Amino acid sequence: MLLFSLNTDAPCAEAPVVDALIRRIGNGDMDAFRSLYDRVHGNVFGFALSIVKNPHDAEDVLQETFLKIYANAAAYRPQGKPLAWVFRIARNIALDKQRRGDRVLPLDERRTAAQYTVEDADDRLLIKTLLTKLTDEERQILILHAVSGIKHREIAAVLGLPVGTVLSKYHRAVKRLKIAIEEEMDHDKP
Amino acid sequence: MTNRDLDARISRAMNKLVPSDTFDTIVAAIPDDQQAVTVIKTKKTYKYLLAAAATVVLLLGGVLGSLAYRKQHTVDTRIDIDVNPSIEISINAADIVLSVEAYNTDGERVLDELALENTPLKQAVTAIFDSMVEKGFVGNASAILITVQNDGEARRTDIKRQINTGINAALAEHDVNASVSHQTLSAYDEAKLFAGEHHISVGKAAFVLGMVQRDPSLDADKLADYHFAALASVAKQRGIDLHELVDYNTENAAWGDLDELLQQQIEKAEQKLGIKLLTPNEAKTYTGFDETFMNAVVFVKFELAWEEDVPVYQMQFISDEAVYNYVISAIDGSWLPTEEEKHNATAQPPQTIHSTMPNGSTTFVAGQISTTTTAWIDHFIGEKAAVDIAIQERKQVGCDIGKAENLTVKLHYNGEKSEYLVTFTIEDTCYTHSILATDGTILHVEKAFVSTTTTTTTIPPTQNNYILRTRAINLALTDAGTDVIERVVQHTIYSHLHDEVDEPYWRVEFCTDTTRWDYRVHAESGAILHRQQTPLTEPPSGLN
Repeated sequence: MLLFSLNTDAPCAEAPVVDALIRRIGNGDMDAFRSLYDRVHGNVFGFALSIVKNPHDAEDVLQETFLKIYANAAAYRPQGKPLAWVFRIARNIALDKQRRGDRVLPLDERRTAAQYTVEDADDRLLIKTLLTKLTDEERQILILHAVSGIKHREIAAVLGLPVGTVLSKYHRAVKRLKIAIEEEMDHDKP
Repeated sequence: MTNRDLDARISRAMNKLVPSDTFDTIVAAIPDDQQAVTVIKTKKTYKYLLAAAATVVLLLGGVLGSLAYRKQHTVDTRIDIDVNPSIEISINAADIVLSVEAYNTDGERVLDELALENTPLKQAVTAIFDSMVEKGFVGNASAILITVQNDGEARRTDIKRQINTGINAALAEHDVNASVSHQTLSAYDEAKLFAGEHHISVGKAAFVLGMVQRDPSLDADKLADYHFAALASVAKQRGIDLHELVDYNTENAAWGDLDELLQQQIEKAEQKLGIKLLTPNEAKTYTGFDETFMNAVVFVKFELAWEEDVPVYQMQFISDEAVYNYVISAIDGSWLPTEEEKHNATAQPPQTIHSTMPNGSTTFVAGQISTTTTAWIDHFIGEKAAVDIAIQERKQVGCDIGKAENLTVKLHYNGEKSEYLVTFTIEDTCYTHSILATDGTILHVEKAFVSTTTTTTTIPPTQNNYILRTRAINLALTDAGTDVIERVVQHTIYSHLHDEVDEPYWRVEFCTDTTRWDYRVHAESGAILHRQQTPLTEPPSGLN
């Protein structure tokens, strides 16, 4: 839980740190590469999952994103929004993957793979609801906000949407998700 | 379950999904030629000896220089500027700028192309506010928060004086009056922490925490996202005395309470035009929202500005669900395009009415028709005159205008000029007149053949699958079963899309001579969700 807290707080408060890490990666510093991965891999994975909708593809996107970060870090020009840069890379790769039709199995069918097992029933329900009850944009906004902890205006920049739209979609997504979870829980009751 | 709980649950669930060996897989996939060779620094003894000797020489010869250098490069005071752009200036003891940092994208826009390092504070402040005014972040009645972080009172007073001079110079140059509030901080550990968490300036953080301390029911996280004007607005709504948090600048009489500033601007404009303008409260009613809603929102911006010699109220307000922007004529309450709409209009061709019509739409250019309409002043002719022009044009070509129905009119900005789009049907034909808003010239007339039985199904959906505004208005008018033309030519129709709730709907409000109608039309199905009619005791205010 502590690790989770550190991960979610890092992006907002430490943009300069992430900026510096990317610059170091540009100089071939593998320690910086590891450090950046530790900081943001959960965020990138969650965001990728919100687009490709299954963990296997999300992991592919995560890997490709970091390979691209490594390859392009030398050309990176700091603009104070390093996470927006990272997420844009992830988004392009994920959308490209979707376009190519690389999608594999839905979550339920892949859950047999040990590395993607979600043991907690509540978490399983939450992920299933996230992936099935929200529109793509709503899911991306919610996950960017929840997992990455970035502000609505930064989400707007990443997704190319007006801030007002992001705000309204976020609130609508939260509302829908809560209702869906409650309905599922009621449904599961004996 | 709160939103925060939900965020935490989502994050926890996602984290559990990431396999632990992914990083190794990534590193293994990096091509060898891309892997950088780690540079191992060789350690040679003689190099250390040389370095040590050089250090001694430098130490002996440069102690005084070093002290002077340190003084020059040590941050003595930090100054935060918050409007919506949020900027922090760091200066040394000689009031020279060491660094300037933007805390948000608006701040970045303000600082774009400004090179402020090594300039005197006063000069930097003037340059920043010049840029703010030029880029539209500061206008009449804008609220500005200045926070000086320094422990010494005398020093704070001196810096404040320099800042005021710098701001004054910029605002006077642009003939702008704004309200400047000052805050001084000496102990700010908590504010620093909060600022770091929310990536806002320490000054804004201190202000937010000060508000929450006085009203613990406020949500500090939510306030952190607000512009300073919105924070001031919340403080006012909650009865928090701003003077307990900040000092208004009293050195310049023009800088005072925001409401007073706005009133001064209105009076100036009224004198210039020789007419009475809508009051701010009247202008708010033209947004189409009811009083209860408007009382619950937080205003980020409420300014009187000029657009092509027309005084307009520029409003931005926030509800729990969304951000709303309006530009409303202070003369007649008509809507003008917001900056975003103008940008969109220039970025892509405007959506014309014919796109809402069935196949078979045709366009032809009509001859120019002289008009005898009376303009409010030398600007737009008004909706009534636009409708008259359109109807007269049809009459001249022999149409039976007694059969005209489903009339709508709206002001549309096409990226270059404003035009009234007047749409109505006569029997099985739908006409759309595009009329230049400034002089009533008919720019073009579009004609489309429609069938009353098919109009409800042939209108293509918008990109959100929502019915168009005109369609929603027509549904409401039809449901009201009143004489459309008579009403529209006399009164404005308001319509808004509310898509922040589970059931997206168009809200359509209009008045007949005796009744005010309030409709909610489902934005996808067109079903009437809500209908309310209120008898009018007096003729409605508006365009008549």
